[in-house]
Amino acid sequence: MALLENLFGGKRNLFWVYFVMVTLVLVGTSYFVILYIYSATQPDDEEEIVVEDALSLLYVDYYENPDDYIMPESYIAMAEYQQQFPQPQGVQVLQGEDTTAIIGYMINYFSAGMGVDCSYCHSLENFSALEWGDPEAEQNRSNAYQHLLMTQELNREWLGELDTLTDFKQPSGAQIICATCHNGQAQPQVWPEEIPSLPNDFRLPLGEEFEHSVTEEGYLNVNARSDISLDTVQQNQYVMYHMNTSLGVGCTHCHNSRYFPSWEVPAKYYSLNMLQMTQHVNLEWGETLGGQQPSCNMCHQGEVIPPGSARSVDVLPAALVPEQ
Amino acid sequence: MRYTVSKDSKLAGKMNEHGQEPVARRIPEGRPISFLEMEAQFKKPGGTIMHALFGADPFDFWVGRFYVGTFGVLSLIGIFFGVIFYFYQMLIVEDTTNILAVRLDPPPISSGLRLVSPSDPGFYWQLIVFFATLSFLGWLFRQVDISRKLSMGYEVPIAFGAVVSSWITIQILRPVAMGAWGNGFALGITHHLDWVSNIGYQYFNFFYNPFHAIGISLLFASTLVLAMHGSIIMSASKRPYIREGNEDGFWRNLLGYSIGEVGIHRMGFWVAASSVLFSNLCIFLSGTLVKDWADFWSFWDKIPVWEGAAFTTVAAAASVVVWRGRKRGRYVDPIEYEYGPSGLEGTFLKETTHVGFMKRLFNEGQVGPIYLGAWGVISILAGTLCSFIILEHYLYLVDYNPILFLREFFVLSLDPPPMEYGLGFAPWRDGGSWVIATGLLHVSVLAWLARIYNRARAAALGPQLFWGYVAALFLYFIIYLIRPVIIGNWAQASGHGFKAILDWTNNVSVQYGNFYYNPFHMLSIFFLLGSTLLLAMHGASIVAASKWGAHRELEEMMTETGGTQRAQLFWRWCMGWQATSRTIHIWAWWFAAMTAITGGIGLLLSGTAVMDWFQFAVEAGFVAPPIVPVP
Repeated sequence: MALLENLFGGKRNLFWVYFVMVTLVLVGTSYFVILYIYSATQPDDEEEIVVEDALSLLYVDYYENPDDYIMPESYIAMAEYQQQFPQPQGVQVLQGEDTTAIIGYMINYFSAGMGVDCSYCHSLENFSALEWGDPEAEQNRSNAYQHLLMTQELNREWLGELDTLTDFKQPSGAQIICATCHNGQAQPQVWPEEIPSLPNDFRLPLGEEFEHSVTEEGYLNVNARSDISLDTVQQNQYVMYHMNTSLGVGCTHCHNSRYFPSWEVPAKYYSLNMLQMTQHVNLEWGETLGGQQPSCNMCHQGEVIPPGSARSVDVLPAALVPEQ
Repeated sequence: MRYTVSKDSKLAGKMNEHGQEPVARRIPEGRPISFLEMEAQFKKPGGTIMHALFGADPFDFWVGRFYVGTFGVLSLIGIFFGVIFYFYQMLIVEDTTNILAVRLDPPPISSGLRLVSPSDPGFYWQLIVFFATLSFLGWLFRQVDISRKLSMGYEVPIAFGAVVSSWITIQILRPVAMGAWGNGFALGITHHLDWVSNIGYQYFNFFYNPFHAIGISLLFASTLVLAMHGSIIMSASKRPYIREGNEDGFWRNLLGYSIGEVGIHRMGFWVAASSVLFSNLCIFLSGTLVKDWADFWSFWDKIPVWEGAAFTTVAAAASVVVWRGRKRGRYVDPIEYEYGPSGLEGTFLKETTHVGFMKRLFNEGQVGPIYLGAWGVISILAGTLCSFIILEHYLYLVDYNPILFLREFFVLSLDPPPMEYGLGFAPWRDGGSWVIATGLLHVSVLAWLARIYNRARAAALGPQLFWGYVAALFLYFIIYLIRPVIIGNWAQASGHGFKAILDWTNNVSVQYGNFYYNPFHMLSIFFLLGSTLLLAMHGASIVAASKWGAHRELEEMMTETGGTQRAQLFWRWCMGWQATSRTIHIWAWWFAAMTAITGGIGLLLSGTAVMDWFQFAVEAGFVAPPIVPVP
């Protein structure tokens, strides 16, 4: 203190030094507060869509460069196959598309979505071959075929229903495609080893025994019931926390939290539909999921709209989306 | 037995030859002045903030017993217009006469921080918030004026300022920080409960908000402090032979420490005010910095100490060795050490200690002697055994891994048997240990109850603390024994563990359709917050007037002197009426006791008589209208 006093020549000068410092801090803070309030009172600018590259037009919020995964010889093999067969051979799901279009889908959705080369499922000698002496890749191909059927069914039967559920909300139009679940992993790990804020062995109640779990009398409806214990309520809360963390939203996204059973918030209709879809995936397609149960986080990744989804029905082959 | 204090002792001059505080310090000389004389002496213009700033105060007068003052006029304007607009919204805008179901929402979030025009929703919310803020601030400065007039400390306006800061945080600071008035607090008698429900679950689960936990703990601590203080004063009232020593001895025997007359009021003032300040923090952080209170705790497992547990242990042990090895020495006056503390409990032949910082904080530094007795031994044994079973189960859950035990301590719990076991015994690791541990806990708290009664009788005090504790046990036994027995399974009771208790509270509310709509829960919350309010008012008034001895409540109950009269004049001028040194403690006891009694009734009815409190409220007609979705 004495040093400072000597430096500035006495107590009186030191007072002014402090005065100026405090004034600067106050004025500076006020400036930021006023600027903040001013910016908060201005109407929001319209959100600009930044076009990074071709893929960002296809996906909601997902980008992987397929060139990182597809080897040069695969590109050569594809070009040869395209010249040889302008119309594809033995197509089972993606019917009505020519080879060029299918190659585009394969590159943008399959390779980029799962982070694999063509040879993961195909023989580079003959892309339409079903058996070529590589049992692992043949199994992958058969699995991919199953999953393509699943994608078709989910988009048509479940996502197609969303706009009929409530008058107060319209679906974003995003569609399920490989990256929605795979997120760049050929074999995604659906449930992490440690789940934040939940028991590590927690899984959604999607088995046969919970067939009616999401209906009115079901497992998840705990309000005013005397036939259940608080343990069931706790399981219900775990399911709800799982949805919270998977979508990055609080309970109020779907509920008027003053009364959880009420149907006041439109998003609740959607989430019920999606939960039933998840149960359907587990029961009908569970064998093809590599022994894993689906989770909300598998697709949602902390976002309300899964980032790996296709933007709309227009960017997907007609065979995979609801019939227009 | 007489003691002497050596001339070299620090106590020389502070104690008389009996080792006690001089009587002259305890009872000021002079004749008692009547309350009316006292009021006549102080009820004169002058001394207000306006006088200090401008030398004149145009509204410096009384209307009847109410003091007006410039800030009182500001406050009146705020009250008048706030109430007018509240009723305008109710009667004209919402076209209802049901005041319970008024729904006064802030402007929509899309309006940002803009002020909306009169035809838009939220306009009257803006006006009411403005006028309410004006009236609260006016009231605050009016309290400053009254304190100045009575030459009291500023503790009462400081305590009230804590509450005003809470209003300003929730209605102004947080909405500004989040960028929209729509984040403000909705008004309406039941609708504000909706807002609280929705805010709580918007950030996943408010029970996991640590500042919420601290705030709530301090609210309950306030109620406990209020109950203990109200009890001890009531138990000494109308017993003219009771002295401060009886009270001090009672507490020291029971708990090992008696906080003393002024200390209890200081602590009450701090606990009550800090409960509000922590609540400010808990709501301000929600949505601004923290969006997810469940995931907030993921930092805990990521603290690097768990991986480096061995290193941390060695480092901690080394630092303890270094710390213990510091040269520390202090002079101990043998006479002071041996003869300093004495009094009622001297006969118990227990050593006592003096803790310096407690002496500074509460003006009472003596710790001990503590009384054990047969009931105390039973209580402590049963409690220790109960804790042992619980902690052993925690260890079992983490495979006896000590690091995991520490890391997961707040998550681990000993849960009751699942529903299928009903009220029967379950295998040891499947809830059987819960049955035994909880039974031991019952024994422990009941033995403690007996101990309180015996010690009060031995100290010639009334049984008020005993009955206050009975009120608390009423709630306790409904949670752990009566309600599970009526419903028919132990699974309805709470597990033993930090997270388990929070989850139990949440789950009971979820299962029975939102406890906020349980009228007895409303009453319990009313008494809980009311206890904190009373504690803040009483503690702050007494601390503010303690330089005139307002804290000497045993004497003041018989002959009021200047301190108590100032405290009374303060509230008489501020709100028109006042308690006395005795009656404030009757208020205190009942507010604290009713918190537990109404809470117990509300819980007892849930799942037995009423299955869905929200539907109950709908039928009773005090629910605000539902959300209207925007197409």
